[in-house]
Amino acid sequence: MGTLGLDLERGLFLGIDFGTTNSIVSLYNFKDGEAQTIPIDGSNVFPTAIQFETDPEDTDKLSRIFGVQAKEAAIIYPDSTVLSVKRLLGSDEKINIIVDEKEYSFTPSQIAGEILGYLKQKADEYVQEELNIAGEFSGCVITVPANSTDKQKKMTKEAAMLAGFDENNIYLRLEPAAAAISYAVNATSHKKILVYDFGGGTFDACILQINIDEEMNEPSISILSTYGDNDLGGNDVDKIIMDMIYEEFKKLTNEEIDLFDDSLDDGVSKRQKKVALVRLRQVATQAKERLSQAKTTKIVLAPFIQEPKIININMEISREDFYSHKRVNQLGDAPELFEKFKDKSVEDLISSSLKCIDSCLAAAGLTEQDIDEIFLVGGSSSIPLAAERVGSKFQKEPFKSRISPALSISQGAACYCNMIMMPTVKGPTVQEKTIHPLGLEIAGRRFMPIVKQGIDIPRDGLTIEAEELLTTNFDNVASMAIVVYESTSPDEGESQPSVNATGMKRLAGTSLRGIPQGPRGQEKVKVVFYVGQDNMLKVMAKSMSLDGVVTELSVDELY
Amino acid sequence: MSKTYRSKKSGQLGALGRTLLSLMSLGDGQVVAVDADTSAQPIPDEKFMLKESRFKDKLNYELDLRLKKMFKPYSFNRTVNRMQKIMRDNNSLASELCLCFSSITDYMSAHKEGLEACLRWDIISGINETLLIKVEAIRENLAAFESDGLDIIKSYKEEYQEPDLEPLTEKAMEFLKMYYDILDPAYIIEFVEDMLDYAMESKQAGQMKGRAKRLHEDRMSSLIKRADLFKKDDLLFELSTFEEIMNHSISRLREEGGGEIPAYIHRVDKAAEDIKDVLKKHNIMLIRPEPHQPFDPKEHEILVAESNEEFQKGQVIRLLNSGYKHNETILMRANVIAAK
Repeated sequence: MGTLGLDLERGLFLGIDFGTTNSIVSLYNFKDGEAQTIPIDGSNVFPTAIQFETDPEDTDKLSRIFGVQAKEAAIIYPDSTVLSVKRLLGSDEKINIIVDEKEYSFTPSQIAGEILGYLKQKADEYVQEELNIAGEFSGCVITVPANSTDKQKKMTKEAAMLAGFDENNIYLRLEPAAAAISYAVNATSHKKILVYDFGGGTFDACILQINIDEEMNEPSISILSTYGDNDLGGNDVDKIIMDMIYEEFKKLTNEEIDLFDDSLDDGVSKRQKKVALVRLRQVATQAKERLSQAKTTKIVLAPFIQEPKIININMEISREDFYSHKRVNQLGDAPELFEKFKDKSVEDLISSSLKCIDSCLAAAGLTEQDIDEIFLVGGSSSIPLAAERVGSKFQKEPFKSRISPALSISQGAACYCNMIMMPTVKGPTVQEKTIHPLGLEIAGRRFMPIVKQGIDIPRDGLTIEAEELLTTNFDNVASMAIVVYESTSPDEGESQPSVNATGMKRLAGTSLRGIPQGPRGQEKVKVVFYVGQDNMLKVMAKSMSLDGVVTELSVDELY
Repeated sequence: MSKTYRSKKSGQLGALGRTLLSLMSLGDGQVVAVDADTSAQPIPDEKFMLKESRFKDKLNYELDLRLKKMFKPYSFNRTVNRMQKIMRDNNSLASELCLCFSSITDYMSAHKEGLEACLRWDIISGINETLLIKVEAIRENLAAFESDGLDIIKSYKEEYQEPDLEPLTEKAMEFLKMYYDILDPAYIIEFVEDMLDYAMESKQAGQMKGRAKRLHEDRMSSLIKRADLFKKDDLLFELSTFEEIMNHSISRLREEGGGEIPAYIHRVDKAAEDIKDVLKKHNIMLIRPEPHQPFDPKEHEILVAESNEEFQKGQVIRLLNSGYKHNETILMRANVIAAK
């Protein structure tokens, strides 16, 4: 007679927004019932960067530095630092780095794997130390762009495996879908959603279709169309404010000084110019953020430069000025890039984003009226004009989310984690015949097959009851873990192999709760597997005494 | 729906209490499952009336004590006091820094005639204009910070709800009702601990605590975030650019000297010392890496990377602007030139 194991041991799942510039990780906090972002090295936003060094202990080995430290060091050690590895995921290009004159070669997956591994390690430490949760992240949901190729997805998954996530517990979900997931979970009817993702360097519009199916725990989200502009982002908005300040500076100096030309002898040293430009960028970003909250802001740079004479910037900018100012100066940009943004205002940039939306709607064969909800994602979406213009185009207010647009993809990934840890999980395909044995985990972490392989599935489904009744293995047990496995390895003759054996695939798990308590072995549990031709596996467990309880578990989209 | 509760105080129970517990427990005497919906019995009036007044007083008194203990970290007065302290601290930091800058401009006004006669009056008047702008900017930004801070405190006050004893008293009574038919009224008072545990571990108590905790944490972190932003973007940014004046324009004045300039420089140096004292008083420490020190990205930011034979790759060549930390939190990293 089989005995069920007591613990689910399903491990923890980490939601990862693996970005080109920055990455953000979140987990689903069951206690609060919401996703929370995990700070890495003290900050929610982690620069996606790695730097290699010779290991001081063993000069044949490399040691690694991650995140903000690596990003900062890139200026001194460009040959041993890798930034923006995401752009290379999907290509076969090797990444060559040079450390102390030795050359090393990596694949993009290896580099991404190293970075994901660091994120996993820091997240593990966080949950153990801050949340007092024993265990580590064995699974993850990583978001990928809506237009990712199969190769990009495969390489992202490979990177996650190298990072130490369990191969069967790595799930990829699309970035716009993650941004809308917490909404989709609560949707009660089919919806069409526009995701407006205005990031630092790129803009993406995406239309999603949410389908509600009572049978499934995870709403089905499909992409109807996407359209983006890889050269349109918040950085270009910052440049417009920089341009306004620079115009003021030119006025104060009678256009005698060019801060962007190091070689020009205009009485300002190279170093002063460099420092002034850093300050210019700092105040421009600050002013943009302030103008998201307030109608006007003051820009003070006292002093901006001190040679040949002290020049102070002390100006007030209103939202209207900010929205309508047309860019005049090249500000160190490449000529072809400047050509694109010359004479362009914030209003123009937002109009360009609206044109992307039109193309996106056209590609999906839809009009504004077909869209049920709008989601603003990405840091630059907090510019009030973006919400206003998108709102008036669609004649509806964008969805008000409690999550900041910058964190929404990562927290959405964490919401997906929660769904994946719930019973319904993607598993193997079952067509007319069962392909692999399906069964349960029993005491001693062993696999008890219930459905054998190669059995015909009749049109109205295949129902198989476990040959043995399961029993409790401790006194006064009130719940039992029901964990379903698929054995994908060829039959090796062992009747009850370990669930950790190679080829064992954990499909889903739930608990049978409220079992009448009694001495061990007294309570018996019947288990029935139902395999349908609609790619669904249902498992029913029922405790056999008079006031017994029943639990049901479905595994959808078997493949 | 089944509910469980853990009796921590079984040692304090009277004889009947212990009997009850042993009746209720299964095996180890710790965890009990009771079905609240089906076991609830009406309390027989005549039995309960005997002890009611003494019993209810004791129950409410104890419940109130426990509630106060539970709410202590999130109590209204404590939270408002902490918020007001944050406001006061930032106000005094900003005002003291303004006084330091004003001491220089005041000196300039008082000695304008002599200073105007100096060869480098252009630099002095430039510095003066810069400092006047700084003081005005800090005052305006302080006003903006205070207005935002007061809004946060106001929203906290508006949304705060006093913990409500009533639902918990009901919860405690619900527990009593489950066992009342087998309870001897003589020992009812000793049953209070278990009723309190049951009430305090109830969903209602959890929700009350959760609500207070969330409101407290949410508004507290908004205020701290706003205060840090004020410190970083408004105060330390102005100090940073003041340091640039010290390094550049004041250095030039020092070199060129003449007339009343040394006295003026003396006043500026005094103000710079005063600024250090103000920061120290407010627990803000300077980050000032020395040349040849290895570049540490946690505390330093590279503004310029230069090749320099005298320095190894990754070493700090020169400090441009000090960084600042408050306790161990880095508010602003030091700007450096590093060797590449």
